[in-house]
Amino acid sequence: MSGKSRIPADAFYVDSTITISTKHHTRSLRLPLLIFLAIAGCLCTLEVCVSMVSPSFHGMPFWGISVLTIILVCILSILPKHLHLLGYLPLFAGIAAAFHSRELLVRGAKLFYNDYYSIAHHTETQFFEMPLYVDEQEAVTWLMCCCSVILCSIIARLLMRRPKFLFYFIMTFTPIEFGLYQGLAMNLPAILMVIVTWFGVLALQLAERRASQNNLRSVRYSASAGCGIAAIVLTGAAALAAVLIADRFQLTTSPEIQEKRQTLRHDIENMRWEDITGSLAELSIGLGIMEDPDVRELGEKSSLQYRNEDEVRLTFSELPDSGMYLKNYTGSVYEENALVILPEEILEDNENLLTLFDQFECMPQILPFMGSQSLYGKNSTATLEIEPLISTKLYLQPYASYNSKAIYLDDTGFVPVEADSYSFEFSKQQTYQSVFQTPLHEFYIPVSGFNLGDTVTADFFDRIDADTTQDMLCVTARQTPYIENPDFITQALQAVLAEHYVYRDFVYQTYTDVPESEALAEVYASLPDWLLQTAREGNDWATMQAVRQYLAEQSEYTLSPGKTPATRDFVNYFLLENHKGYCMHYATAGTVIARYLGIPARYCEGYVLSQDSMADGKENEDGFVIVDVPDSAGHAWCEIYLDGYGWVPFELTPGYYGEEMLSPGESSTTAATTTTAVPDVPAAESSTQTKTSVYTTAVTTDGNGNAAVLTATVSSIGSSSGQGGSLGSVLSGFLRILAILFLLILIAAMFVLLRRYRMNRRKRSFQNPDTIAAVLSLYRYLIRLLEVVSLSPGNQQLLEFAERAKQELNDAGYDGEGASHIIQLALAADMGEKAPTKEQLHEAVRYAERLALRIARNQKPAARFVMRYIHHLI
Amino acid sequence: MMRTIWMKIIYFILLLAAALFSVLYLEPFSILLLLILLLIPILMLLSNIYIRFHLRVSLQLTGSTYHRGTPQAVQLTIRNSGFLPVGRAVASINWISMMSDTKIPVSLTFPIPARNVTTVEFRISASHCGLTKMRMQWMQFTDYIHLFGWKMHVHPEAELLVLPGGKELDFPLSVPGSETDEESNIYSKLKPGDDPSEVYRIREYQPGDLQKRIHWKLSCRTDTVWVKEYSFPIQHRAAVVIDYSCGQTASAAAMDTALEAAFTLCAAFVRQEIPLMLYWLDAASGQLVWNELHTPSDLNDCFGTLLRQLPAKENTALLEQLSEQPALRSTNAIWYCTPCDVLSEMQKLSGIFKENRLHVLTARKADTEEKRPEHIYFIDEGSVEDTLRGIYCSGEVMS
Repeated sequence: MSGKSRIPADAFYVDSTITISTKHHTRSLRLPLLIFLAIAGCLCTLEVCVSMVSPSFHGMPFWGISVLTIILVCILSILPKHLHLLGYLPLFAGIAAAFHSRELLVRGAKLFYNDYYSIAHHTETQFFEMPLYVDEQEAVTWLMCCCSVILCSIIARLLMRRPKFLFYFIMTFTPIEFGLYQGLAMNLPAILMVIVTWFGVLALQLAERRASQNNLRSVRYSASAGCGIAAIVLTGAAALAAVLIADRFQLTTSPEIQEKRQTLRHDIENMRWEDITGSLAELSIGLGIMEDPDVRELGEKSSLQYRNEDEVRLTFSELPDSGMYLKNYTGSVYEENALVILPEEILEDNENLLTLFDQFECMPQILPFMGSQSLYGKNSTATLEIEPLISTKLYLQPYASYNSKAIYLDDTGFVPVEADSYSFEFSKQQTYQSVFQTPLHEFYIPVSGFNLGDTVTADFFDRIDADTTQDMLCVTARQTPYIENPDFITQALQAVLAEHYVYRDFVYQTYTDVPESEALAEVYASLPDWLLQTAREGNDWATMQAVRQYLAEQSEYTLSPGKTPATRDFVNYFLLENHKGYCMHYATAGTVIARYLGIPARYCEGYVLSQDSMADGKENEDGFVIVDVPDSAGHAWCEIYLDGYGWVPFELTPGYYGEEMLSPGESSTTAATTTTAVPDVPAAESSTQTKTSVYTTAVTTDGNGNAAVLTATVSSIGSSSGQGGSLGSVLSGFLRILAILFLLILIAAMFVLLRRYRMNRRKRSFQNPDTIAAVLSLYRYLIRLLEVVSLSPGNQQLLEFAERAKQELNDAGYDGEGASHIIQLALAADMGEKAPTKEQLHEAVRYAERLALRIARNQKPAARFVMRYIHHLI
Repeated sequence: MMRTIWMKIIYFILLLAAALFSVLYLEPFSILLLLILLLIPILMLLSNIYIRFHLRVSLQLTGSTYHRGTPQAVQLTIRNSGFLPVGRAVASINWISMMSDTKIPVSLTFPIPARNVTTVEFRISASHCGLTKMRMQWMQFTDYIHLFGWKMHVHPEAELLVLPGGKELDFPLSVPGSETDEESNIYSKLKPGDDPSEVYRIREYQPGDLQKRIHWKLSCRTDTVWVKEYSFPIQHRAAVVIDYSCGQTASAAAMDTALEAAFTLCAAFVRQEIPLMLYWLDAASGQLVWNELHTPSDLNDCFGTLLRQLPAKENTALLEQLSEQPALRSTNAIWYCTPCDVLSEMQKLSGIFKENRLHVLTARKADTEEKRPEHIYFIDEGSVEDTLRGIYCSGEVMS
């Protein structure tokens, strides 16, 4: 073995030949390692792909063909000379098979894409409409087999010939990256195994990198195989340690980490080169360096994906009578394709309003709660404890609720005293129909009831600018300001007065403001006459219904509407060109149009809970119902202002409303007569031709005839993400792999130990002091050896057989003399009791061993394996 | 080294990408990937530490002396007692020629299998005579993904004495004058003579032996008849003086040439059994040293002793001490080999060796137009053999 080295000039001349030798000759494990890498890499990559989409296919033929392909390619690739080129045969066979059955393949591809689409978009809708007669499993299986054969052929072939990390990485990482990008759940142990093989291939390649040392192949390969194995073991240990660390410190489930990840993710996703300063500022916000201005960028996401992970835990003392909205964010201003909260300066400009908020707690948020108490009585409330699971800054607020400990800073949200968990008293009546249908009444509040001499009271009336010289103060409201609950009497009166005299004007000034732009002017101009006519009639509810109808006619609900081009207005692009969107699109467009039509409206985000999902909650020992809210319950809706009552949600997104909608007053004509739930009808599809089935709606009514939204997430989506999603499954996967490896090692060890035992036993028999027994044993060994080269005594006389064996062995290039001699010795010992001498025996044994080695050398690897480990001849 | 830097950069980029993944993709895998990529360097570092404590390195030479120009095998032996192999190790070995004071690093790249002894053997030829030291500077190995290079500062050493190669002369060296001198008290170790003052050896009687040579006493005690052979007093007909008085000012090449000439002459004299004395000035004591050379091993030993002292500081005491050497005055032929410019010393040399046939071989490029003084010969690396042939063929030695 020789290699090159740097040769210095002048004082010394180093011979260019360097020899490297090792003391112990160790068999290189390179070939077994490459086979292992090929099998593990291919199978784990396939498993990752399969686990991503979970297609409906026949597993046995797929895995069988995959394994066979890998083994075949491995075997063909190690053939000598140019025969290794046969290793490309399975690849060509795969391509030919795919071409031959291309129609079936195309069908399979469409079906496969349908599976992918439903998983990626959490929908049961099929992207490609397939005829019913298509055998789905057969087509998908055929597609996957063809792909598997091609993929395995390429990976195994190139690994066996020359392991190249970059190529292997690209081939195996691509599906993983794709899955990650699409948010698909994957088999975690399989991915980790792929990572382990990456480092194995990398170590192997780096150890074999010195191409100039071709002749050092034996030592180099011995070391490189060792390096590959060591790298695999070390990376495997790292993977195991990573799983244990993540499990121990809950890195994948910790709410703080999740929150930070989500924040950073959002900021990174919103990075824009044209506004790099702003993007970096947002990133700084995510990193906690700057504060978040609470902006919602619109049209940045091409699609909406859910992980189906629980984000909030709700504990109800009693469940509401219908579905429920939990508001987290209120977008008050629409500008430059973004929604932002109400600017502080607007509130600051309304000093009286701010004082009413700060000092007199006349918050619009609590007005509906007071109203509900007035409408339904003080026993109509329940408590709700909210515990955010992923973010401690997730401040959720139900409608018609009140939290006495919370700080209400403005007319949108609140800040709880303890962010980890906070509770509300809320009205169990969350339907608002009766409220909406209740007309505004005039209520007269006697001024004498107030102590105007009190400076605080005087200040209050001063702030609301009420004429206290009159005996009565007239306010308009949906319900009486006098409520039964004595705790809230004063607060309710103050709130109603503040709403009537101050806040209502503020609402109409602020929340009917629409941005002026050419793009939006185009939108306004495109509004149909019937919609404008409805708006002119002055019935807000009818107007909003018309808006909803217009939006439904104008667009199609989809979770993958694509991004809004940077140069286009979000609403304009949605309504006039793309005609595709999800809740965010509908809520934003509805808000803008409602404001244009003179209805105070705001955009809201949060969660929407169906009555069914709440009914599925678990009851704890205190009788409270615990409901976990997944991310898929996230939603956006529009909020409109009801004079004399406050803000109420109005649903604009197809699929979330119908005849049975939660929205105020909508069920007035149908709900009272319906008593049983309608089977899951894809209302969105029937009414708007939408393709989603994430939410299905049905009608239920309570005893009062109030309708409620039933929203139910598709359970299969949740279960799909569970595959390999938790660390427990990772551990169990690892244990399974370890168990399989252990089993394989055990089987291999069994072969080795059995061979060693048989060899030792044979050696002892050859060294038997009774040389007759020893030579007979040797004879039996020789006969088994000769059977390998198809030489058997049969019925032939032994002397004749000895002669024939000698002749045939000589013809085959072996030394046949020794074999003949052994047969004769055995014959003499057996028949004539003539014991051979120890020297003769020793010589004969040495000959037999040499012959065995030479025969083995001339055998094919498989036959050699059989000789070594099955027949134990060498 | 460069490779580890690149791998570090690539790995750092990969780590950044994984960090980005862990933010962009909220699946557990992205966090695990980041963790794995953080843990792998730690494990690689630990593996390097493990390997470091299981490697033993040594340097060996197949012999302690060899001749200039002939390749000498050197073995770098690495014993890896651990179960982790090394895919790529680089050893840097410094070769230091004491004569030319040159230091040249040689780098070797090799793999180290686990639980084995790896021997890297290579051959080296030295251009200069004298003591040569080789010292391993460091051995660096990298982890399996070349993230960390671990430099082992182990310094096994080996010494090697490079003797002049010597030219085999294809003509006989004749020396004027008698071979023996009865008054000499130096006797030949190679052949018997007739000087009864010293017994050369005792051997069994052979027909034809003189009766008076029979060792009666010994023969009486044994059953065999023994005879005595007397010694052969030899005349030191030839002497070789090596003058390196110009010390380190002489170039290594000139020193090589002078030593090569001296070695060639000595080897030729020894081969022809011409009694020969080799003179030089001991660098440590400043005293003249002379050795009688009879066999090739004497020659190697003497040159070995001499070469270990080189390069020496300048010392001009050689001529003075040579003039006080009586044995030298009776030598028939003196070969004065030097790398120094002796033209200025010619008068002094002629004064000392006026009764002898002095031949000065000085390592210098002969200028064709330069007239050389009598008995002074300019030699260079390739002309030793030709110069000597010229001297002998012209009859200058015998004249």
